[in-house]
Amino acid sequence: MKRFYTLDRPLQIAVYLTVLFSILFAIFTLANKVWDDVNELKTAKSDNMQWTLSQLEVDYLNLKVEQKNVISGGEVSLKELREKFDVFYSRVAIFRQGPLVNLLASDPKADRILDEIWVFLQQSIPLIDGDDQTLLAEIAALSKHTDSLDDDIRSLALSGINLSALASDREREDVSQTLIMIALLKVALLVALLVLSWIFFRQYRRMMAHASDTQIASSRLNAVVTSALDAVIVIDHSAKILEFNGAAEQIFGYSKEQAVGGDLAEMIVPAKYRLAHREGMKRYLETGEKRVVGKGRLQLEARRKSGEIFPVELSISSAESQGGEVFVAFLRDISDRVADEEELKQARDDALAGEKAKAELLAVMSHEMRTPLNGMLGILELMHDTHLSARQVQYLDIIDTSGKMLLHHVSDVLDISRLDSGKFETDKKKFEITRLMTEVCDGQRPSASAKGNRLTTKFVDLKDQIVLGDDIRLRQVLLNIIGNAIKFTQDGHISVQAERRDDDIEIRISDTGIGIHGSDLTRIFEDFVTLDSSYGRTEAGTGLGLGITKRMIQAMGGTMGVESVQDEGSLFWVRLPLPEQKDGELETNSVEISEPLPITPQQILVVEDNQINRFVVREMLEKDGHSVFEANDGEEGVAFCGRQKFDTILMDISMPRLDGVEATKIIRESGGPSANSPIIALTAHALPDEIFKFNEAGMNDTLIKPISRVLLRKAIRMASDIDDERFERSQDAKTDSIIDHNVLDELWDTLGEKAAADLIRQFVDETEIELDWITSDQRTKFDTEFVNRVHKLAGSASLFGAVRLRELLFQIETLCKTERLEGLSELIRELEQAWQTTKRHLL
Amino acid sequence: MKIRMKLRKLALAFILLWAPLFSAHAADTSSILLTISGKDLTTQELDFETLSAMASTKFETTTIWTDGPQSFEGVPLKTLLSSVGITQGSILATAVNDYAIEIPVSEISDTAPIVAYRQNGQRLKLREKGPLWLVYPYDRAAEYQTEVIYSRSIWQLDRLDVKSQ
Repeated sequence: MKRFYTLDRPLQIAVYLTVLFSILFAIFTLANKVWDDVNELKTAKSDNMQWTLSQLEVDYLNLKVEQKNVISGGEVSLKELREKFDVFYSRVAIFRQGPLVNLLASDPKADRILDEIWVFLQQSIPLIDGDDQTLLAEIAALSKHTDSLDDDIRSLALSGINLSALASDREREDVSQTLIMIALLKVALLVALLVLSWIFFRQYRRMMAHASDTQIASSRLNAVVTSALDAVIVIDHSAKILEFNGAAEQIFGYSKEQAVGGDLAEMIVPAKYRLAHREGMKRYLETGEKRVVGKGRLQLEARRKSGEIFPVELSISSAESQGGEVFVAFLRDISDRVADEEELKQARDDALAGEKAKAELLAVMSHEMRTPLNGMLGILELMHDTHLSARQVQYLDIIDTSGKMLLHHVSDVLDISRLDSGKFETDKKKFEITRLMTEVCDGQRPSASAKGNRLTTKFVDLKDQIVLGDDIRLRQVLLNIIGNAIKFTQDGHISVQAERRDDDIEIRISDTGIGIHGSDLTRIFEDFVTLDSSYGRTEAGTGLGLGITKRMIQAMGGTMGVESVQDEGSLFWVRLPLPEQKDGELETNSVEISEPLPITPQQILVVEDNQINRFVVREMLEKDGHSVFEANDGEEGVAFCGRQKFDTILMDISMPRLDGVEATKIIRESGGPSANSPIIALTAHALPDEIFKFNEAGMNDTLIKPISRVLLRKAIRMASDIDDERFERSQDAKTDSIIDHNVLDELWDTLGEKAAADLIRQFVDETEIELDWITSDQRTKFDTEFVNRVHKLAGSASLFGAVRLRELLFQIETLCKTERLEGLSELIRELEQAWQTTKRHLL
Repeated sequence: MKIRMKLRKLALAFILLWAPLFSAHAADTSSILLTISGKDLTTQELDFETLSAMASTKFETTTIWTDGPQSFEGVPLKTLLSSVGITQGSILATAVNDYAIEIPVSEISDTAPIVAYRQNGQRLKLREKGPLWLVYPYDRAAEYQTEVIYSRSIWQLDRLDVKSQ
């Protein structure tokens, strides 16, 4: 039966119909037959055969008796005889016509007997119908003849019984067959009815189950819609609202009674969108094109009953219903979300602005603080050279120490802002690691001893190793951590250990101090964190010490961490990539050379807007015997340079009206008396790309503030040397190397591979053009333009480390300036050759 | 069916018992075709002239004893009985061979049966179920095709005995 259910629906129906029609046909056929049978029984088609046959015998016997009566001569009544004959005759005649003929015809013997009787009757008629005499005379013969029929008549009568029995048997069988048929059909009908009722029952149960499912689904859906937090609105194709749930009531302010039947556009679509909405609906109904329906979430605006417009998120889907297509819209009031987003955006913008402001403030402040500090420290340095009492010297030293500490703090803040802005540059130099660490520890030992602490060092696998890294930053890091350890340890032990681990070196600084509480361990690296015990305040209050240290280590590609047990001590560990340099040569740091060199007095222009700085520099320079001219800003400086030739120009960068960079450019391009004078930048900004920019503008060197006399002296000497020693050095220039790879490497490091390559290509292209112009055969004039262009090219060449090219250009420049033009053509030829070699090296 | 057969046997027995008595009586009246008698009735003897003078009816029908349609002419039994004042009760119709059958008067209609004296325009002879034959218009209705009707279709009729009023 299961399989039956899997049949197709049309096939099922066909099967039902076939069964039904079969049963109906059987019923009809049987009913017809029963009807016929009933009709058959209603009317008798023939007379009673048995009776007729027995009556035949009676009539025969009557005739015989009458004949015997006549023969015996008792009462002679021929009339009676004739009557009996006629009666017998008529009886026999019945079998010769009508339905009885057919009945007897089926029995051949009966048929034969009947024929014989008939023959007898026919033969007897003349005698019977004849006169009485003849009849009387022949009666004996007739009687005899009649008697001979005895057996036949008897047999005929008996055959009647037989036939009748057969007929009634047939009739009975027929009836019983019909009854059996009826019974069978009844059973079949019953079975069919049972099957049908079973099918109907199944059907009924399925329908009930289906109805119940539908009911459950419907109520579940209803519950979902009712309790949904989103507004659910159902509209028909004319935008008439059909359904409006509780959330919709809350959001839009209409009650369900008000909303249902209303026009969607009128009620919740803001006036400015109404036209678009109607056109959209119209378009959809006409073309079926869906722009909003089924397209997922959209953000639009809706209107409350109060008229308030607010943002909603909605999605619309279409569905078929009894009344045609309907649209189901889910709407969510996202006013809060949008407001939150706005707030968040505002907060983010504020935060970013705050960050920017902070960075700017830090940069400006550090700059603004450094400037007066520079002045102060400069003056202090100058004061040392004046006549002072011992006490004054002592005071001066205290001021100096305080001033330097202040400067240090300012530098810290600047470091933080640089580290955070990613502008922090680390150096790669070769240095001896154990020596550096020993030096740092030696420097800290006095302050350690002051607090009763022992400071020990231990090196593992590091003896006399030369490593590559940023020694200055490492020194700073170590100072910070060791300084911290000393500060928080009293009468204890500070151990500094270093150990090589592959390319890294791990440095551990442990102390037996007060330690750090576990919950503070992660906080101590945050900016401006000063724990209650002031652990982080190594820098006397900024709370930046460990933050800077950690940032520096990270900038150098290292990691840093801390382990500590309160009241037992702390362990700070640092792991830095410091690969060993096997064949490394030490680069001696020669900045601090202080042995005096002979100083050639010069005419020096100081372009500086800050009066204190100007005064400091002036004092320093005048002490060395130089003549100093002062300009308040770039414009004044340019004006000075237009009037007279200076041996050296010191140029501040940040100045009102015209800054140092622009002023330098103007001076260089002016062709004035000082157009070729060395210009040294004075700046607090010291980023590599800035220095590169200064060089491009035509500056020869950069001095980072604060300015010390030593550094100032050295810069002036070096700038002048280029000018003075140019010619002398050119004598053995031919043997010089073509390229200074240090310079080139630095360029690559500073700019990165791609930018450096681009720049070099640009340099090569420009140099080609310039050299074409400089080496032109038709050249007769070696005027200022020629000199400027040679000078500029020399500047570019030095930037790319093309030392050979630079030397030759300088020589040409010098020859032109000194008007010794005889050697010029040879130098120009040499220049062409040198360029080809340089170009090969560069590319 | 069995009842029917029993009736037949009873009828047969009756006829066999009473046959000699009636035959003797009938033999005396030669031109008399029908004798009507009854307890409170003067016996009437009707000859052909009397009968044919009465209002007659003619119809055509098949019978189970003949081949093909036959036309019969005769006096409706009802007319005949009315003429002697019999309107209720039952009559016993008896044939020459003493076949007898009882017919309730209430079951006799105005037109059927008729006491036919002509078949196909010819006088009925004794040899042809005459001279009188009580015939129903069998073809007219199914109710005339029952065995009761067939048993009442008495031929060689010569007596009508009014059983009771």
